[in-house]
Amino acid sequence: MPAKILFIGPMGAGKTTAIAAVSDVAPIATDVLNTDRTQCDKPTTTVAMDYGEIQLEDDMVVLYGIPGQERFDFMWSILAEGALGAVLLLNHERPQARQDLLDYLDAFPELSERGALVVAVGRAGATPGQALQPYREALGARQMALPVFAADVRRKTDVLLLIETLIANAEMNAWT
Amino acid sequence: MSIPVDAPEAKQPQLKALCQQQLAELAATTEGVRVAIVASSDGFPLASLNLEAQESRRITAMGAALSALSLRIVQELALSGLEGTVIESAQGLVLCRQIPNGITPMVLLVVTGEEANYGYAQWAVKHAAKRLSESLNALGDRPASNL
Repeated sequence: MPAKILFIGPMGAGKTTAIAAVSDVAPIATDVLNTDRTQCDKPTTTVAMDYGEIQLEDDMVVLYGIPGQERFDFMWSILAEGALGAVLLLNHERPQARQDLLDYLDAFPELSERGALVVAVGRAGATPGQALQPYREALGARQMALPVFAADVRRKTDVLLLIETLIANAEMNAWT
Repeated sequence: MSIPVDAPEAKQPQLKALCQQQLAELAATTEGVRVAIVASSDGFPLASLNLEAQESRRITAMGAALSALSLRIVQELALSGLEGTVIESAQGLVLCRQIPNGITPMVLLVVTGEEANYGYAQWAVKHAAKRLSESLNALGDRPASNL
């Protein structure tokens, strides 16, 4: 059975892009015209799910992306079923990015409790070390120790690092 | 409620009124229509019948997701040209159709009770979507000042 990994995070964080960057097969996307440019200024938005596949050595991994807007939250629990873990993508340029982190931790309590998450911060700027600090502090305040990376999800190597870290953590958690 | 970005501002009230009128006509001529919604393809309500605003937002988002997923399944199976999606339940039907038009992509979602006739409901929703397409295209062709 292939491992299932979820890509979660707000609209415009790069979930569709991340899956497209690494998928071995043509990704399945459910993008439609974005009519709410005030929330996020991009031409299209995902309304049901993204899907991709990647072969990692002996493991087949299937990748699911959620629709980021809260009004599609009915899809979140459907897509999360049976997931090994999730990559939580954040857009550092959003003023509410730190709150986004907390909101998505709360929206996926089962993954949060298992620590089955990797946090990836996009558009972290020239000093990513500084940019990541508020997210690490927010996690620390919740006594959570999750891997936090600055990532450009257009780059396959960045997305692979996130997926491999998530799988390694899941394997480690299974032994402890 | 969001307005389609590519709908000229002056046409937005007419667009909503037109959708509302078509929904009312559908409900008046089709037995068992409980709820009817016209939504943008990214899940914002444009017009609705028998739904509170808050409830409408959630059902509308579901309709948009159902429509997008249906379209993607049809494309994946190389069946081309999605006509519509039907969900059958013990107590009624959920019928979903895309409304092709020159203004903005839209979806029609209709919920019926068990008293609805399956075949007639499908026909009625198909024709309502067609009428909406034609009316919206006519609206799109007219200059806003002449509306």
